[in-house]
Amino acid sequence: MPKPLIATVLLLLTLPACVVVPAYARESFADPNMTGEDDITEAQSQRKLHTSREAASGADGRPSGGGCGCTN
Amino acid sequence: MPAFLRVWAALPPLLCLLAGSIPAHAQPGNTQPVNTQPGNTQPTQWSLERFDARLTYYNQRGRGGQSQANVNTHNPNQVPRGKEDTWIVQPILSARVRQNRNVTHDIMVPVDIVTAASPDALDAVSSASRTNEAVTFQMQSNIDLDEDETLVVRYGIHVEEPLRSAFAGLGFTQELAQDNAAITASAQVIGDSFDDLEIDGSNVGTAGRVTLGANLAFSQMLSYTTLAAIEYGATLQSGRLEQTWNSVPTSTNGAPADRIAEQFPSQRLRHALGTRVVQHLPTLNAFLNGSYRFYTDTFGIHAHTLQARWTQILGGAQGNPRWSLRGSYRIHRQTGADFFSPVVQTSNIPNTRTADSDLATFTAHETGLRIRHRFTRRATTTHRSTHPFGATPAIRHRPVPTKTGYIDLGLSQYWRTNNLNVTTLTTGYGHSF
Repeated sequence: MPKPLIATVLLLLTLPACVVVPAYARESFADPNMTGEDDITEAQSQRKLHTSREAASGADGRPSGGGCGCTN
Repeated sequence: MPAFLRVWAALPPLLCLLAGSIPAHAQPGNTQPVNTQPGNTQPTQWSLERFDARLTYYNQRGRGGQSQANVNTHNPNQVPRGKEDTWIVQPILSARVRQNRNVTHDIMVPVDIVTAASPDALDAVSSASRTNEAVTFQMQSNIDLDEDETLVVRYGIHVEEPLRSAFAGLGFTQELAQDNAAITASAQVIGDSFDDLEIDGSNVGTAGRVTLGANLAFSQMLSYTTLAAIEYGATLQSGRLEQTWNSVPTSTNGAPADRIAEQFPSQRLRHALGTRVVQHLPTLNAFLNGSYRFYTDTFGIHAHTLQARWTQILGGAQGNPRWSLRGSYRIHRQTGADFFSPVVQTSNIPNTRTADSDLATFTAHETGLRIRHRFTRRATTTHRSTHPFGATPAIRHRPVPTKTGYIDLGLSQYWRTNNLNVTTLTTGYGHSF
């Protein structure tokens, strides 16, 4: 198993141990910089840049276009 | 488009409209009406919740072995590379429409206007002079089944000069631990039908491919200021996977010969595992966003992608008008496909081959700078939302300002170690109602 995969799985296992943040204390999470809600179209543009030029990009269940099956 | 794709594409809208017509409390197994918390002002009829627009300009310079445009050399000591120069203008429109208290629709329409060096075979043979247009219509419908469960339906089409594509998918999000965490599972199918263009530009019919994918994502609040997410996706592609008009230079006894069409295996299994952490730094009035992605597939490509973004708020408390400045850096390192070769010998032509520089071993760097002004017109209220067009679920039931908006301007530079550079200029505007 690759080392990055092991590290990621270990990270995942630590997540349930974290604190429970009550609803009234989620001020930080209300900011669009946390959720990325204002970055929808920007993310689409950047995805276009990467999936058109990197065979390892994509694989996220969305069509990439360009006539090439490299990146779907 | 194959008949089964037409049937598949028709199912999600029907399912969505059906769900939208049934009151949540009347659905089987649902004993609680949703969205009854105080302060919820969501309308019960059709309404526009937000609108986003963006215009992006890409200017690309470089060379690749797959391109026949203005090949740099016939010197046997140099690898022949054709021009990949192109520019692209991409307008994007996006909107969120609320159907009723339980159903929202996220609509996105990106359009690409491309002057093509290598995408169009005829251009590749002659010069990079033609223009291609591509348009995508994609829709995501979010159906709240109850307080903690959401059904997501995605569907859309993509049309460009040589390609027609349709996709559809289903997802389910379950919120956990008092909405501190969310898990999403989704599956999708993509069908492509495209002109079978030869490397000399002749059209010999149509070809196709099918892509099946499954994703699993988990996100959680790690602290009062930290949000983390992890996502895994597997994708299986079958059919004509190569770009039919891409060519591979050949050589005979060291001397340049002709070109032949690239050839891929007929199947490809891809795995991608990604993590993301967003940290709010209140004392610095800043946000740090970091992500890492590991990728591997049966073509023999392995990749690591690391990205970091620092967003500095320039005055103004949350919910008030303010400026922000964001700097970002991304590095992508991948190994080449097993069958990649810049030149093949005519005495030993492999069954699978490519000279496409996108499938080569390279490292790509990207730096970016963005300035954004955010404006707000009303105090906070309670809001529910899922992350549009992303498999990663977002935490919902957040207090957010209503009637907000932004306008931004960004510049980025992307460069690859195998001779490709892209400058991107983008500007965006968004408004929530």
